[in-house]
Amino acid sequence: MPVVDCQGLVRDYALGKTIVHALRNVSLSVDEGDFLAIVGSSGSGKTTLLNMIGCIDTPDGGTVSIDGQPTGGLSSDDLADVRSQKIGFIFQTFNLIPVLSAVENVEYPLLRHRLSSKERRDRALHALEMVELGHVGKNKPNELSGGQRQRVAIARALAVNPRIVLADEPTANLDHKTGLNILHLMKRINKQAGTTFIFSTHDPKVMELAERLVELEDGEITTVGTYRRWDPTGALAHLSHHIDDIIDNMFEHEY
Amino acid sequence: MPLSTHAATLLQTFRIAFRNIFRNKVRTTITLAAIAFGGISLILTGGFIRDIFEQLREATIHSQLGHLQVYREGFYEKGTAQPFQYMIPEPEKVRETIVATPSVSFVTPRLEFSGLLSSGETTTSFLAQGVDPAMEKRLGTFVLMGEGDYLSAGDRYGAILGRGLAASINVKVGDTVTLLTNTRAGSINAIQVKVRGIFYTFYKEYDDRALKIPLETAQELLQHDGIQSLVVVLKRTDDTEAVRKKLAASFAETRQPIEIKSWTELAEFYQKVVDLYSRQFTVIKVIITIVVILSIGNTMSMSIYERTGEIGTVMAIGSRRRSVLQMFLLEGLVLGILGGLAGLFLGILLAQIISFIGIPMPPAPGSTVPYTARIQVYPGILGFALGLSIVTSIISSIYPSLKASRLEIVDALRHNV
Ligand SMILES: Nc1ncnc2c1ncn2[C@@H]1O[C@H](COP(=O)(O)OP(=O)(O)OP(=O)(O)O)[C@@H](O)[C@H]1O
Ligand SMILES: [Mg+2]
Repeated sequence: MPVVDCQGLVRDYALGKTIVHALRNVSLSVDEGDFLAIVGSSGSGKTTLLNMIGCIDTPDGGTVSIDGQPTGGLSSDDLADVRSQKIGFIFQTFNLIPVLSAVENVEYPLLRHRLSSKERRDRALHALEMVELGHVGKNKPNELSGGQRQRVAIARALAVNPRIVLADEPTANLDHKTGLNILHLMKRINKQAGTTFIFSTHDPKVMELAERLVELEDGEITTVGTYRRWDPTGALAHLSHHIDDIIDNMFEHEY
Repeated sequence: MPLSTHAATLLQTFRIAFRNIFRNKVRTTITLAAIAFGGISLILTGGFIRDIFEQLREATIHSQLGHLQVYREGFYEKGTAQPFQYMIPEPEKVRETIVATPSVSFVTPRLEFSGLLSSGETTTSFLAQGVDPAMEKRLGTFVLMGEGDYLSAGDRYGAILGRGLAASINVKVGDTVTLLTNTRAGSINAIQVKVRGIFYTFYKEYDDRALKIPLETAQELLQHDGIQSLVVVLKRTDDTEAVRKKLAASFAETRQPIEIKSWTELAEFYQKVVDLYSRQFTVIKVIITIVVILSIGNTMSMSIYERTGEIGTVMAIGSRRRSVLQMFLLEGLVLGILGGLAGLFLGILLAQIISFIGIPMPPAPGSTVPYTARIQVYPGILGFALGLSIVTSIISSIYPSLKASRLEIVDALRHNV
């Protein structure tokens, strides 16, 4: 069963009198343990799609299921619970809570879980250690570098043991090298813990690390593949789902 | 969620609220100052008005009214027209009942009458009280001597005149004046008394007509040995109503035809002043409330606007809308408590300083005596000031907080740059 299953997603925005079709009939399913990149030019709908998957925006048409549970029709509180239990978010702008220390930031989503304060602290520290920041737990976000902030954000996303981690351009605000480090870290966690990652990016070097690529263009998926097979000129623009599945299987056998 | 989780969440929300308050120190300081200012204004104004009320109250009581006045039933309504019809029956027995009541300090008898006062050259009308000189002096701590001395017990033909009355017929201490009045039998009787002193009270109107002579002299002049009223002075003004009730019950039980009036019923002027100042104070309260609401509302709106992105973030990572609402309401509450406490502290401090210096006040309307006002800090006003700070803080946080909790997550997240 896929962790994420989107069927026929449609999202329109009214921009003055014109309607922007941010997503037109997007279907995508993501399996457990995937390390998936969503790519495409600016305005192609990457953020919109990630928002749908993350249950922070609702589609005008189509369905999103997380972990087999359809999210259509859920109340705002129920959606908040789905996010809190199953989804981790990593943002382009890090979005740490400035008044909280690193470890408190990581603990924040855990407040909604049934844990003693010790368990909560332990899990937060463990998550910080996973991103190799065990030593800066007491620092406030403004005392950390950009790369460190993003690592704290990753720890925060991981602390709740989510089914999926969503990252919208997680490296866009970092220098190239730091960005790659962040991606390597995500990938390592993906390998070690089997956490599913879905991220969007503009950076070809970052795309290279993805195991699966989904290309969006003007609100539609044009390509599904891997970086090496993905041809930016569009030679494989109509790669069929069938081939896609075969590639997926190949990857599954690789490790 | 189990209780501990709730508690932990609340604790963390508190922590965040607290830290956020100190994030923008300048803004928070200004807001706290506005709230504290409201509290201080309330405490100072309230305490000042309280002091005026109390001074006026004591002046009213100790100029002439006492705490309670005891008459024969009907005197208050019809007594002035037919004073002799409403003498207290068995005054000694009534006095004993009163004196036996707890919290009564002392009782003094009075016989009031009106007539004409003549200095030989000029004549004017007066309102006289035959009094027990020693007791009346004890009662009249707000009866001040302009010239000369008070009545003394042994001095049977001495009199003291109100300042206005003395001036109107141009008599001085040491002069002899004649009092003319109707006796019980209807004839006219006169008596000569020596002016021993000129007095004045808080009430100019009273000073313009009043004179006091010893009770026996009054009885001699009226050819009647009764009294019309017994003036009761209590140990504490606050006991007035309780003692009145107790006395009324005693007299009802013994079937004595006695009526009792308390100083509040007799002090029309005092009631008017209280009414006027209370209204003004209400206006001040409303203004302060508005100032506090606007300043906190403004702070909350700014702080929420600045943190739109953060709100988006916490909702994205699983906070329910309600807890966002909670967080900002809590911030308002913390602001209100801190500002309110600062207001209390500074208000009390300022009240002490101002009271130490004293506020010189011009004579109250209808009075000729200037006085010094102080600021009386009393629990009621402190509670009100703190309560108002907190309640208005919460009220003014409601709208901005609701707005924050209703933000679209995706829109809110876009504010992160
Ligand atoms: N709130 C909105 N109101 C109007 N139009 C919107 C809104 N959000 C997105 N859009 C439009 O929807 C389309 C897709 O936007 P989206 O943000 O998903 O693109 P993106 O692929 O994430 O772009 P970028 O790479 O620049 O982040 C764009 O044309 C955008 O202008
Ligand atoms: Mg985007």
